[in-house]
Amino acid sequence: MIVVAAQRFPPPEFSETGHQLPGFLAPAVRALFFERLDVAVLAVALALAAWLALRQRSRRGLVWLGIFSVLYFGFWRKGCICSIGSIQNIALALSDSAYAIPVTVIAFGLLPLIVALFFGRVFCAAVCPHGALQDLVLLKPVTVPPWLEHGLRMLAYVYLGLAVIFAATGGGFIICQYDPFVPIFRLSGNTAMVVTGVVFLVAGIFIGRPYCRFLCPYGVLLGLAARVSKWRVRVTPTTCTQCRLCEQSCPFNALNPATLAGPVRTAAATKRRLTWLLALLPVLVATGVWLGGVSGTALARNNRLVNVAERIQLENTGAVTGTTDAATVFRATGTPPEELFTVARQLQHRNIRAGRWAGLWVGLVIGLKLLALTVRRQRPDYEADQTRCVACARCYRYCPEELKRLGLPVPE
Amino acid sequence: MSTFLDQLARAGVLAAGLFVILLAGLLAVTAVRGKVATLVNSKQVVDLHKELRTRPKDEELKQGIRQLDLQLRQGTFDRLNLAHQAGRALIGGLVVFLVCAHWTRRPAAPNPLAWGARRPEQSRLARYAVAGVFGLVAFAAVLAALAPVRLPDREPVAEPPVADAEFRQQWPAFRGPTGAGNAANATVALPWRIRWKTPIPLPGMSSPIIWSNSVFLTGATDKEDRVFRFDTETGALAWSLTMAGPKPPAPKTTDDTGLAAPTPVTDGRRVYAIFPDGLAGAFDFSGKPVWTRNLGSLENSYGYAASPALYRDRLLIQIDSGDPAEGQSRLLALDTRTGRQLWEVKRPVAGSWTSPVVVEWNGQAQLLTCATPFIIAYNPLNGTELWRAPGLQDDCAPSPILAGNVVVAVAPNNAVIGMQPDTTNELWRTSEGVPDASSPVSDGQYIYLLDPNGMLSCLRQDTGKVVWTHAFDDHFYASPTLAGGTLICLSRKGVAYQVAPGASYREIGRFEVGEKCNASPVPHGKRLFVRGHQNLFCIESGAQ
Repeated sequence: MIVVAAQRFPPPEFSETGHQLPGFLAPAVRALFFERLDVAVLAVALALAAWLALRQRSRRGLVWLGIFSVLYFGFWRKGCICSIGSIQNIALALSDSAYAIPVTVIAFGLLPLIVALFFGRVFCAAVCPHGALQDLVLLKPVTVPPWLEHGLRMLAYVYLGLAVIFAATGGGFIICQYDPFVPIFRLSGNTAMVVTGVVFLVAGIFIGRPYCRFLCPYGVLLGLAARVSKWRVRVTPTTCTQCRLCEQSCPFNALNPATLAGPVRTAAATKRRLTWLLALLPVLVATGVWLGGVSGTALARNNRLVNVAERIQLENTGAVTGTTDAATVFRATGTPPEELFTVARQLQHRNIRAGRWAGLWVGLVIGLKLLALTVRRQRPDYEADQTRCVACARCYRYCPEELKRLGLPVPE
Repeated sequence: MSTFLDQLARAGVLAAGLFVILLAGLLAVTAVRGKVATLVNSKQVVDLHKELRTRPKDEELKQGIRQLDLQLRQGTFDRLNLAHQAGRALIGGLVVFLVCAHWTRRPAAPNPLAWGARRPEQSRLARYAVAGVFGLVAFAAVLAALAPVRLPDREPVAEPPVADAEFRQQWPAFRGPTGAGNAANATVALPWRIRWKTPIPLPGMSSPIIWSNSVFLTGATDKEDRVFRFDTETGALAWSLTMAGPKPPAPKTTDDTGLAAPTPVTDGRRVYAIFPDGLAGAFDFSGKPVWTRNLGSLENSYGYAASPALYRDRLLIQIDSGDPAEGQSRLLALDTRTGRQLWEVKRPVAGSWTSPVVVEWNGQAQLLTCATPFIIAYNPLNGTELWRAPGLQDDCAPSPILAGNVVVAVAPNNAVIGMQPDTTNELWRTSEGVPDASSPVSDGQYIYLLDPNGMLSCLRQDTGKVVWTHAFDDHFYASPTLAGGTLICLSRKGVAYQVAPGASYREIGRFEVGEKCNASPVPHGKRLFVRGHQNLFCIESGAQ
């Protein structure tokens, strides 16, 4: 089904003054052809990224593809629709049967995930304009301490939970509202978001891909999908000699070193800790559910209807003085506040339920992360972390086996 | 060659970096100065607008404001345009900076020997960091949950209906509790005197309504709609309140109708008012606004004048407009507690100025309405049409009444019709003494009609035969009202003619209010309340 927008009322004509009405400020609706072209370009770019990262092992190729993605998906397409934001459309479509989700959006949401199931996060490598832009500005990488990295990465899980419940409850698309790079791609945006984008870019000169690592909700999903990928980034093309040359090659802390020989802690201590953490898991989940429930009413405030309902209630009870534009406009409609309150209460209850799910999600991932940090895995080789590796191909050239494969001189 | 390019790249880094920093500063300045808010809130403009309020006809000042506004707009948009161009240049500068910076970048060769021995993973710290994030999220959630705004819990609770006996003791609506203009229990013994008079803050044609010790009135100008509460004992203005919400533009009306013709109505809990600009609302007796609705401009050729009626928890509003074919006429019911619309029906009638009247017939409530060409009765609970009868024409303004077992309706300039309420049988029809503005009144045996030019007619209620007529040398808009044993006809000059109802005409007195009057007089107990053009009067027995 094709839906075409039209003017509900004819715009006025200024025949005497010849005044021309300004055009729309929002990006124009793209013709169907261009939408299909976008999906085709995405598919080709994903295939190319997988080929360059895993088959060709070409950092240079990925850089050029990244530049293309920044120009095409970023500056030319104005960063919309992007795969990151599509999570929200999909969440809304799943919760609201009246919402018609465009096929293009579904394609942008699912294609990178499907590719990640087989080839890892090659989308992040050079197809996502957000990631590619941050990759290009990385000049002086500093290493974030791994323990801090573990903590900060949990923020992305929290952000994912919030973004999904806000979208599903009609509270808005917060990923888009607070996207730091779209104002740069559009050369326009509110001051706060432009400043945020600039801060991320400046930070990105030293901290590799800060948004991708610590905030990107789509990166969480890609990481989960990449865990089962058969074809993935391997630092060495042959056998790891544990030369340690690649140890500090990854600016994103996505390289897991080979485990050191000998037990760090006794098995009994580890078992005891695991038992405690397993017992803690339901407590964390229950706490998350409770916290999500109690904050649900506040989360609902992101919904414009709830926001204006609360404002009117505050004004009616004399808790605030003055009024807001939204409250004035609502009162002008003549709709009785009780009707608004009824809808707002329903939305609040919906947000309370959704908040509990988000709390469950946060409690669960935190608990599982704590368990994962306790379980000790044996790694004989240096390996790219399947969840975290963005397949940027930086590490390849640090491996002497790779240099040999390419016929390049191996440093002494 | 390589050295030259390296030097060039280093110079590029410096130059582009400097360029980017300067441009970013410029952008920051334009972002602040170019804000549209600075245009709107410009001190100069605000001051000039204040000055214009004191000199509203100063054309030179107006021209100066326009000129300044244009300059500010041009300046703002120039800055915005500059910011846009600077943004593009900034991107260009960043590209040069990045290319040069990457060119000059020489990552140090990895040297594991210099890194020292590997240390085991710091799992404990990592667990603390992860737990810390959970703590932060929990803190934020608790913080967000503090001070919630509690919306009213549920729909307003059902209210017990106002006792019918109590309702009938009051004068709660236009033409009283039954809409028939008859206060059988009221007695305003002769002679009369003015107990008090109080200025009415805003003009209007609406009549007073009474509940206990409160008199309510409405008034309006093209700037505001107000509801007033006066004390019946002293005439003191208890409150004067503007309808909540932004005022819609006032529609065009004639001077004879004005902007506050509909009489308010009360159920003893709240007072409900409607204005031609479409605002309908409720105030409780303490003056607190309960709800307001905008029903859209009530366009009408002379001006909207229909007073609302009440049935249980329903406020019934008749909005007749245009020709029947235009389908603009409607009848709707609002929830008296919330203002929520409960039902609405389209009416196949032309514009009218009559008010709907709730009557009871054979144990069922009927909402009687009159507008060309039909008398239509509805079920006031759900708007279902119960019966309709043709016969009306022209601009209908007199409201119908139920007199005994006869519905009396008026087709101005044509006929007065007596109908049987359930079979739509026309019992009688007469073309004598037909009023065109005021509504009929009945004492149970006779019906009294008053036309604008002063002809008072008395008809037999059962046959419609004219019993007598009397011509006053006066003009009338107010409907005749029965107060116990006195028929009161209030003229536009402000003379209240007191007539003894019965088989022959007998004037028992006259009283000059002292002010022009168009609203219908309201008897309540031993007093009569009259709205003049400027004042509200309370009249009672006693020598002047």
